Amino acid sequence: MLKLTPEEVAFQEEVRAFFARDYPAHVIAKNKAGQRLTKQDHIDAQRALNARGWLGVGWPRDVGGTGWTPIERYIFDEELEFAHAAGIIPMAVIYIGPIIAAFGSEQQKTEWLPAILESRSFWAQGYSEPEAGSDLASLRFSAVRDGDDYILNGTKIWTSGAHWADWIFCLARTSREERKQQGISLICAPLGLPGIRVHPIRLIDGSDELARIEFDNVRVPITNRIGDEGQAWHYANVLLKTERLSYAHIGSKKRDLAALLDQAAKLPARGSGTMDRDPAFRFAHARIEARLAAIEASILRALRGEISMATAAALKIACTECAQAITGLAIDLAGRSRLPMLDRSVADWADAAPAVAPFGPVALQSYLFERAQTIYGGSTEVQKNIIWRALAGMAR
Amino acid sequence: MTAPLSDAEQVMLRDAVRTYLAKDDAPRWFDFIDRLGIGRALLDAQQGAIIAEEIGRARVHLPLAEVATAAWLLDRCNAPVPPATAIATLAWAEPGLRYDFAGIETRARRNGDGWRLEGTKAVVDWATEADALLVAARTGGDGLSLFRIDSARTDGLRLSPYRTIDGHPAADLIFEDHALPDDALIGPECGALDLLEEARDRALALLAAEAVGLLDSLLEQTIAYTGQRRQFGQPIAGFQALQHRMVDMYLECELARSSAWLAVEALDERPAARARAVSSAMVNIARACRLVGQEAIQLHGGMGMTDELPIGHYVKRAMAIEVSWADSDWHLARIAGL
Repeated sequence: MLKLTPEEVAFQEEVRAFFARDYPAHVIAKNKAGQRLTKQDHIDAQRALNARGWLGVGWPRDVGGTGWTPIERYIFDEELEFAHAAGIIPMAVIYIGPIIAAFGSEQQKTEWLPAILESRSFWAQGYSEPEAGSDLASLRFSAVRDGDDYILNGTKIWTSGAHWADWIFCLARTSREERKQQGISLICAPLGLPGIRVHPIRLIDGSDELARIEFDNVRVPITNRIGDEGQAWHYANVLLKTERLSYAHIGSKKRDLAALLDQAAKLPARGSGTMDRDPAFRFAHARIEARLAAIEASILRALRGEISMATAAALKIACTECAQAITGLAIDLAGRSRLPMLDRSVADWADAAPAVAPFGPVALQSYLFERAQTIYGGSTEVQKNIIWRALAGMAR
Repeated sequence: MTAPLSDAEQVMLRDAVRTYLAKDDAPRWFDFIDRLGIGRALLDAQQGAIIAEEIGRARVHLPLAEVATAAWLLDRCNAPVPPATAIATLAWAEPGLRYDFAGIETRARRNGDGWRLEGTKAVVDWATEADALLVAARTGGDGLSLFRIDSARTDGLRLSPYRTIDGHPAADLIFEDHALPDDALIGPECGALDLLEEARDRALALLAAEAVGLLDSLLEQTIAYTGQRRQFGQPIAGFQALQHRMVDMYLECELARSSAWLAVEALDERPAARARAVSSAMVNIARACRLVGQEAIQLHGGMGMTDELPIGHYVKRAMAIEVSWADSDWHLARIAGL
């Protein structure tokens, strides 16, 4: 049950060949060298995928999607990550695309979906607010009807990629209801509209790809609402159901773990020899590898069957903590070479510290950035509450 | 050695440093030493630890461990010790070694009346600000020696400056046939290994104390934040799951404080006992740095990820201290006698 079928193996080979032959080599080279990608790099990568019909992952075929089974999707993700290809920026392709396809108007489907596939538009996600993080349903961002328009007011925060995005989809309160999950609508706005201000947020790893976005009396037509008024919570949950394993990233975890052994072979160990022969490092490495094997098996189990809320929540915790453990092992391996804080936006960034293994600064910044994994997308604490609600039922 | 401070004197020193750093969050080393009049305190581990803890608590950039360690080495070598207001730093780490001084490959060879230095030093803290560099290099057959370099002497020295994760100025140094006068050698030729080992333990004791200040502050900031951050209609500090995580942080903080004392008080023991105590301390300190740092970020949620809050700056300094002179595995191996 955990093994791939012959058809799936054939698909895997097809995907592997694609990344080796038909995918922009400069994107892969930059990723391998630890250089940050530009928007143009992502456009090049998306265009290559779209040319093959493989960008609309998780979209139905009739709107240009792949129509893959969950396992095919998993195989694709894994091969993409093994190849050091650019991760698909999820906001448009993975988060809002499937919602537009399922609940959007015909006009939205014909205007917005092709623009996403052709890399003509990038999207940002407006979910969290300064006072609504883990408790997302208490959001206050408001959309008030005015004739054929909505007037948007409020603040969204932790928005990734706002500096590249043309559009933002927002959870907005359109009415006050007894249950705070009700009365929320999904409304889209071009980011260039008057009244929208984007404030970049610098993070502890030195990146500034997140933003806080303020809306001050921003006017959008009601045709920018996706689906029915007040139904956004329902749509978001439908999305969660289909996408709740998209953060698994088993491929990149395997790849990063394997890369640590390659790095270890180049780093001096205590006494003589290199770190790949250091038992303490190898035991720590093997411990994570064993954990990852179990997580991968859990994901495959889940993909072949039904996924309960509790399972998905448990896998989110397991996957994100495993990713953090790998970055923790990486900075341990790096030792003092973790110390330089270098700007990785230029090709020769590593020359700034000629006596340091370039792996160190990359490991350090990854360690810091990946601390967010157990915070975003429902923090570990929120996931545990979800799991407990399922377990509590067993006590009754 | 100066006489140990009385309890009252310790509190006075702590308060003086705390008050100074409360008024100046970007202090210059010269002013810090000069205005507080604490130059002599640098040669005393107990006083140094009190100062270091306050530096950690305030999370300011001051080269206390570097200057104190260099001063101790110079003093022990009967070399002139520069005024404490000057910055001096020891260049020991290299790309070809992990933490063992035995792996040092930088070489100094005699050349007429002086020396020629050849080799690479990695991530030398405060190198760009230093008035004097102490460089550990191999001489003669196989021994390690120490050289003092006036940092204005840049001929044959390639210096690549950058900031480290904790915001300190640092550099990689490449010596290419760098000429030094005869008297650049300090201490006994080929006799520096034991001195370096002791210097490392002294630096670690100060860093342990700094970590205590950092970790205590991280816990205090986290308690304060969770007390005012409201979700689900209440301060999140009201959730027992979060309370217990902060209690875990507290346990690590307490053990870290005890560990720092352990290290400071062991410095005048015989080498084996000193090494065992300092390494035991640092294993606990490193664990505390990792756990308290991770929990502080997690409990701050997204805000903990931002450069804007102090949290991340404290965490990154703690991450630097974890590996400044050695890491946990190195200390474990030293304790185990491996």
